[in-house]
Amino acid sequence: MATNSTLSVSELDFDTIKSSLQTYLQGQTEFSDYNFESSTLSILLNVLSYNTYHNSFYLNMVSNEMFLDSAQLRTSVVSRAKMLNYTPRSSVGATAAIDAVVTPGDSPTSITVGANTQFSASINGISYSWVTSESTSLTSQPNGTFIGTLNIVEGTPLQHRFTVNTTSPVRYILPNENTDTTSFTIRIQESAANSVTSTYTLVSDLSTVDSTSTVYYIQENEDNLYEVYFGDGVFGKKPINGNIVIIDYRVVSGTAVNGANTFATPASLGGYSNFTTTTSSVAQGGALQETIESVKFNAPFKFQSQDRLVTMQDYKNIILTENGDLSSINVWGGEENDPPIYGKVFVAAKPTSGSLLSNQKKEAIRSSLKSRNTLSIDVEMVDATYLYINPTITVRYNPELTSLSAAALNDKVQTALISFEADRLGTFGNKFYLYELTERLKDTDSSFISVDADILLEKRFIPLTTEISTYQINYYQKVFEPHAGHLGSLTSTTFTVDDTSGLNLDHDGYGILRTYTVDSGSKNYRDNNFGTIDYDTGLITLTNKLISAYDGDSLSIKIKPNGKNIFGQRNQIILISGASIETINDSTDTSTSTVGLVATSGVSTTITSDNSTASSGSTSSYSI
Amino acid sequence: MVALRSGSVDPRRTEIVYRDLGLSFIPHPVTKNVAVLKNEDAVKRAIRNLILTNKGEQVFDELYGGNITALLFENITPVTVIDIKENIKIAVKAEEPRATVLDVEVLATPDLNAIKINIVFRINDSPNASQLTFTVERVR
Repeated sequence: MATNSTLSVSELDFDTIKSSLQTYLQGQTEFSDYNFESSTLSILLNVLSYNTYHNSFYLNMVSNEMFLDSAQLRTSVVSRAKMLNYTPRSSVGATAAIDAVVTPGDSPTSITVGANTQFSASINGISYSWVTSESTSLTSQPNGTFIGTLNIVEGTPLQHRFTVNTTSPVRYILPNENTDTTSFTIRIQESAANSVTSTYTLVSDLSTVDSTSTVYYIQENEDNLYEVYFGDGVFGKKPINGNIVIIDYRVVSGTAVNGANTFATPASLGGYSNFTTTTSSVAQGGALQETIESVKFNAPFKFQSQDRLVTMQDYKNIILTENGDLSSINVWGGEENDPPIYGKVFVAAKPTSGSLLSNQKKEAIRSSLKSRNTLSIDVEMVDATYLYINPTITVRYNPELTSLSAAALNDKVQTALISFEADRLGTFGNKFYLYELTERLKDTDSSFISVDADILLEKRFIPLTTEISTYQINYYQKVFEPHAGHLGSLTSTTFTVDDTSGLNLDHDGYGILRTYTVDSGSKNYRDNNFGTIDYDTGLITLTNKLISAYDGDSLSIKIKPNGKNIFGQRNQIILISGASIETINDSTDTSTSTVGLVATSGVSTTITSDNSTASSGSTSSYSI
Repeated sequence: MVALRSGSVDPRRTEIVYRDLGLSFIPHPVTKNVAVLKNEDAVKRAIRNLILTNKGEQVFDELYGGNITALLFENITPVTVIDIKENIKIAVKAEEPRATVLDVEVLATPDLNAIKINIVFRINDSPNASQLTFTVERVR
């Protein structure tokens, strides 16, 4: 038989499998035509190779599915994640808040809006159902009205009942992929004849579970549906024959409803039809079922942290895992604050839609963390603050190396700038390197000889126009001040104080801010001690000021930074705004195209609530 | 098997260069072994295998084959006949290094839905021509 007694079996490719078989069989003398594609032997080898290839592929796929890193099927990924004690997040219904004022015709002692009171919101022509998540008692007012805030969640409430049968066990599977597992209310009724029910809770800490604990567990099953199961009599109370499992839950639409701010109300609230409502918190928090990639990423982290919040990374992992609607998060200890605040952990999160989290969402995250973090450590949620980089970009190009017009070249730079902002900025902890920006812009066209840029840093805020307030505007960057008395590192938009309009800010070069108006082309100083600026830390303080009006959408203050690299600190998110680009023909040394305002995302960022974070417990002092 | 690729056979010689199986797997009436095809018969069988394979039929080699059975479903016109001839010549040239096609005759009998094919070829280094004749017909 074969003199080539070694058959290579490690190959997975069809051609190499066939080649191995040919080499092996050519050693025998009975047949010889293996090498000829049309021979019958070759046809048989094709069949054999294809079968081998098929089996190899199948086995390779099976082995891939055995590991979290290489698994492709959702069921495999979920199963591997289960071994790490990780349950993939289900779809989550968005939440919103509505302020209600009910004017009853009679004189009730109380008015209660029941749970699952139906609202609706229409987005892109599709109507979505919303319900109150719990029963809410409205507060009586002296004028006879009742007011209160109703928390509503998106989703359709459903109830499923299963009768426990120990001889032919029932699987408690909810037949909807978009089930929101956080909406579960699970009760077990004693029997059809006995209506006494016990409420079961989701197990959170196995060490506290015993044989009488009324807890339930959740898993995602092989059909991508959620299955509830109960204890075995050791780790949790075991349901007995005849018990009726009652599961109340909601089927939700995920991210589709985020941003909804107009809600159609039911005919009556608490039994009264005379009422008004206003949306106090727009819809946010809606998320789709966790993706395979996300499960692969998060499961090992969850296992590492063991559901305990100790390190900064633990906080990040758990918050991101449980809140699919957050695009970026930063966590730091209070000792890093200036001044330090010991015993606190600060969490800043940016939602996927919009720029600030609702108070409702912040409280939900805070309370979720509180049960798992270290004793005596408080969790404080803070809003993101935005720092805008204003670049002035000058591009010199060689007209002999391009057929594009100056305007087209300018467009390319604009596109690259917008792309740079999207890629490198917009989340917490970003680092902006001016050199990186100019190099990237230069690479956009081979005709560019040089790209130069100067930057200013801008903060925007909306002053309280009716209240004397103190504002601390912190850039966390050193201000350009090469020598004492240097002027020109600070500018502002115009505003009004004490009926003096048209005021601008500058500084005296020694850390004092001044206001001035421009009269007949020269500065007329109005207040020589309007505030302070710390050139080393970039902190501007305006103490007890009543800024009664301002031009534009907000009051903007710009500083010239000392360095060319800007690092986002703590809750600071860096964006690009107010960019201007000038292209210069290097042959003629003339400016050929200028764009004054590039449409980067920093131009239109919402900053409405930037000043809503009170510092040091004072309601009239704001950190921006 | 470089020696085999460049091998030659003279049908008049008894030296056996090519050995293959018959695709029908009919056992030898006496020995009960699977019939072995040798030299000219092996090459003829290979050409027949090649011609009757449709393009796309061979796994991982979609261009392999004479595509004749696919053409049976075309209207039999002079153009179709030329197509069949060309397909045979191209396929043998590309896939069967042992043979050189000298002539191809295609006799269409539309009333019977059949085509008779006669391939005259020469096994490389052999002075004599060989002939392979077979009929293909639609069965549905």
